[in-house]
Amino acid sequence: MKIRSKFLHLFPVFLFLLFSVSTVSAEGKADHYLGKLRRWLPGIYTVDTYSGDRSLAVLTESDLKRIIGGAVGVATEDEDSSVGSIFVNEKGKSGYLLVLTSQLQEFSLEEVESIFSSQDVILICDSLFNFGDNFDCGYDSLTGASSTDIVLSGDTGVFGNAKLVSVSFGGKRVIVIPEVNLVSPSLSQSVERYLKVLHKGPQSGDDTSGGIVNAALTGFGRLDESLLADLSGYALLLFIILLVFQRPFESLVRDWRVFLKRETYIRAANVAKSFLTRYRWISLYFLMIALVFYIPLIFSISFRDKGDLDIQYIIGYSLDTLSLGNFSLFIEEGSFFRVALLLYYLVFALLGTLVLLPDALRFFERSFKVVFSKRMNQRAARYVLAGMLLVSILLLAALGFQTTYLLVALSLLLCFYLILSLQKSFGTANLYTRKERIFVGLVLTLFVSAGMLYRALGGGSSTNVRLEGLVRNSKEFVVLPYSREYGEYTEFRDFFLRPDYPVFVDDYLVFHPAYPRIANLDITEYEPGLGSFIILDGGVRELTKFVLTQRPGFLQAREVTGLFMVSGAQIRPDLEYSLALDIDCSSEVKKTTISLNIYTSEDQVGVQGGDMSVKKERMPVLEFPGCFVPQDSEKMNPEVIETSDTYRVPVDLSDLVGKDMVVEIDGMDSSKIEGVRVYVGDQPLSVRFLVHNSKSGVLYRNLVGGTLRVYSFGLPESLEVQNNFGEEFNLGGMVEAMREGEILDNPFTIWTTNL
Amino acid sequence: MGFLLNPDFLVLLIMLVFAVSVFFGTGKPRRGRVVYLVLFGIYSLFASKVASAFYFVELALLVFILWALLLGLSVDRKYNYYAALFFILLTPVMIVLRLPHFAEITATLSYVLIVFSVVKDLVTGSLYEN
Repeated sequence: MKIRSKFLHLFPVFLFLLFSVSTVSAEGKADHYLGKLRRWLPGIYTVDTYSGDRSLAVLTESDLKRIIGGAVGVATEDEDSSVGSIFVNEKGKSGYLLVLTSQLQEFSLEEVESIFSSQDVILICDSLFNFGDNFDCGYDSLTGASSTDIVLSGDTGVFGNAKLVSVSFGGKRVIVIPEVNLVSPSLSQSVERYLKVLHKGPQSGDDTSGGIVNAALTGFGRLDESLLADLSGYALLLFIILLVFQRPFESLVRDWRVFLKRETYIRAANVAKSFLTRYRWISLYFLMIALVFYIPLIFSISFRDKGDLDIQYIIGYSLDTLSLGNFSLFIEEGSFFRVALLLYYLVFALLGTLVLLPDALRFFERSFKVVFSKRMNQRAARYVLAGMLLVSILLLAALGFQTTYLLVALSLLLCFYLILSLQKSFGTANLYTRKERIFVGLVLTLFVSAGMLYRALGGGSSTNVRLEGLVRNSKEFVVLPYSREYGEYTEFRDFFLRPDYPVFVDDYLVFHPAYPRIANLDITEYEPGLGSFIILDGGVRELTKFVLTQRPGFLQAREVTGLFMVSGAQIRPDLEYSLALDIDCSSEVKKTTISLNIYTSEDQVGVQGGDMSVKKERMPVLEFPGCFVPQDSEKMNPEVIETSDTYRVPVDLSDLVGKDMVVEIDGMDSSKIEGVRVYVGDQPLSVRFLVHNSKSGVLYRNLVGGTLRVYSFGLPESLEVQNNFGEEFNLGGMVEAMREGEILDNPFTIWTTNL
Repeated sequence: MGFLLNPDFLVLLIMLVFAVSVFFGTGKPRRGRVVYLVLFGIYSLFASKVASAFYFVELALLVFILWALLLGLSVDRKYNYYAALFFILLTPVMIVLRLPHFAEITATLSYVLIVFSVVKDLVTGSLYEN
């Protein structure tokens, strides 16, 4: 009764877990940076996360006026509102308060001083901020701070005047970080290093910022943080390894030959088996607990989704969750409940395996004893053995290895079993008499000769051919794109259809409802001004080759895309380059790392003609924090809500001096990119945006009439197609012709697109 | 001479050596077993390279099927009949639970087990001694 009531109490917890996991939680900018910086320096908090009930309060302005003057900083949004307290801290609490300059816009200088002098602060400059005579900072700027306080300016002099400083103020430390240092991967490494050292080093209040600087820059400031710690780590690792493998090491030292003996492994297996048997009750116990949790959980899913107990749905849901192919999909969709359920299943499977393993091992052991303990009928077994071997050899000789390899393998396994059983039953390897051997030898010769003769006459090859439909028989219908594999001896049957859409097979256009004559050509055969043509998308690498060699004007996009070309003449050494990205934040965009894929020609000689090889270099440039859901305080002020965010980050182009390049923005949907600018200092460079349409498969189209030329990248062979309108189009015949011409991929893909 | 490097020819050669070692064995069982294993290893390498990239997976499945087959032929026939009975009884339960796909599986298994038991009755006494 007690147990039952306990589980009844647990049921609402299941339901809570079930429904709470699917809710979307909004994250503010401060929360985002909190999560990022906490990995490097624990003990950072924002007002929302700072533990301690009395440190957070909702205050009226009168309360604030009463409290101000102590260790309190306050911002109010509305004079009459009771909502609006931002910073309230108890004195004596350690750790750093994380503040954004955008949160301090409403504060007076005195209030800010009050905050800074009451606690250690990490100040992220995401907007222009002036702290009296002390310093000014912005997204990528920091000026006015005393040079002795600058921590990483010399180390991060990659990007203009961006700096990170630690300012001592009223006995407390204020670490000022322009936001660019957190969104640029190259700069955030420096911040990471500094905060990690800060975490290990002296706490705030000590006048030791200089010491911290040295530690950050040299890495050998303190012996116990480097060499000694490393040595201790290695010693500990060695100790653990010796502890785990103590017995094998001892045996190895005593007599290494023990590892060559079969008994050693049998003994080890027995030890493992007895261990599993002895402690299986623990696995069983946890398995029962997991089962008790699982049943209400899975029933709740059925009630939630179907409103009823549907066993079929439960099975389908479970199988769908268990399918490892769906795992990445769950991650992409943010279905963390599914991921958690999959992990639950895996734990379940592990526990089940541990419970069943001892019985399973015993069962296998017994079954092998049973199988091999049967006494064979010698006469019958010898005939079966000889018959199987002879027939296998005949089939192998006649039909070839490709067709019969599994049959032969099965036959060999069975032969091996029969031989072992016969030897066990009768204790001799001479299974056949002299007369039988002569007879078998003759039959063997005859079979091999007959089989080879059959193949020589062409029997084998015709037998190998397998005529298959274009669409597999098991499919009632297929949806394009349709992809299928085929065997070495497959031939395709005719497959007639009357499509009113273009039909592609791999990179070949084989049918177009408006163009009876189609020429599929490689892009290297492109000639301008030859009527209708389309260019298939072959990926950025191939496009780069084409753009760098042909410089086609028609591939230039009028709007901003995620692909652009920069002339190498603009790139010079000893200059600092930066990239500005305008990201559309009118809808939710998740945080991501944005990288540049830079494609350049390996050698400039290739540009003149011939086959050019293209080098790809990946450069992470922006750790985009996401488009933030406005905080409550921001919702009150509509001006705060922006529709696009601009990030300007440094890019290192020093290795690309004088090289023309095609740059792809990776990690962000190009529809979300509103603007891209490349700067040298503060001067924008000229960039040419390129058409980039990988989703449709067609890069560019120009349809005017006549023969339709289809240009593809890396086409193995040209193909001209002449279709007669009014007749059905034989797609099966076309695919078969391509297979015979050895231009059909395996697997091949039939697809279509709007043209 | 190119045909000597033809996989078909090489595999046929392996099979012939295998057959010769079975039919004209040396009389030393241990050495014979080593020869079979080596030949089977060479054959498997050929098959994985030439015939199918998934050969070893297929081989593992073949071994499993063969093991099940031989176990079924070796055990007391009552095991098979009881298992068949169990699956026959499970079939209507699956239908009641509105799981027709599983009912199909259990029905198929019961049918296979009955056929298997009959085959076992026929084989016992001919291939195996009673």
